Amino acid sequence: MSLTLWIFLGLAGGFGAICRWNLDLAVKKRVNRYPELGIALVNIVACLMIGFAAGYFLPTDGCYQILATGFLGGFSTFSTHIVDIVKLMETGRHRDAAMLLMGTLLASILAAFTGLYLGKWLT
Amino acid sequence: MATRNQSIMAGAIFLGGMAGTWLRAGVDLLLSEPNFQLSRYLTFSCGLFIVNLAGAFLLGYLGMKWEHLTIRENREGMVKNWHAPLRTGVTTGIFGALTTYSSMSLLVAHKHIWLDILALVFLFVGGIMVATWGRRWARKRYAAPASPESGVALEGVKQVRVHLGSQGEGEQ
Repeated sequence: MSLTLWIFLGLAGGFGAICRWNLDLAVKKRVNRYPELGIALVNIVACLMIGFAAGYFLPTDGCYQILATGFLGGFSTFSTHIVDIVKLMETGRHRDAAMLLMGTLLASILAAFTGLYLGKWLT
Repeated sequence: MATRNQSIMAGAIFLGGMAGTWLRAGVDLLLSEPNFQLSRYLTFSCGLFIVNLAGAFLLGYLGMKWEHLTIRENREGMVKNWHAPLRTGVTTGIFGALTTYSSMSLLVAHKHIWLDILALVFLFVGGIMVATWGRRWARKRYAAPASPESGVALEGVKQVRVHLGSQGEGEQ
């Protein structure tokens, strides 16, 4: 991997992290009752985009690596999502926790497939 | 327009996100050898497992630790300017970018779908377990009562509860 690609990877990751922060805050401002939905939406959008990238670019493409490993890797998050679920479980809201986990997972897989077909269709 | 505080926060998250992305890409590069894959039937790589589980544990631990420290600092008036940007930079920036959700959703498009789904189940169950442990550990270490009075009061409440509990059992 070349140094330029490495630098762009980091820049894209930082930009993705800022996008996640802003989108999460925007959702939290509108949906007061379920603040966990911000990160869930971030992850679903990231899955849609990575599906599209996987369908549109070749995996060895520098564009794909910057977009998928850099931007979308920094944008989507596993740890915050898991800690949100654990917080729900700690307060006894087990049904909400299960629904958040399964709902996000199913929606993101569906989004990834949609993106994949969309990307393949556009090439 | 963004205020100065928001700009500092965004800068911290950007730097954290950069560090997290480099760390994840580095681990991925180191472990991208075929013999580091969990099995040759699984498209899941070891790097994704390690990075996601480590991130979940550390975010659980540090998030809980800083939650308690912030409460204590607010009570004792020890809040510093750099606390919030540093903590958000590490939690939202580094651990947010270190772990990833989007790469996982792609694996269902591969051949051995049931094995990948099994790996996914392990990843989620493991993530929930390590995050719970991290939060418990941090709570045990940092949720100690800061003043002796509150400690005494807590002890008192516990004793009253024990007392009431034993009464209740006796009635049954």
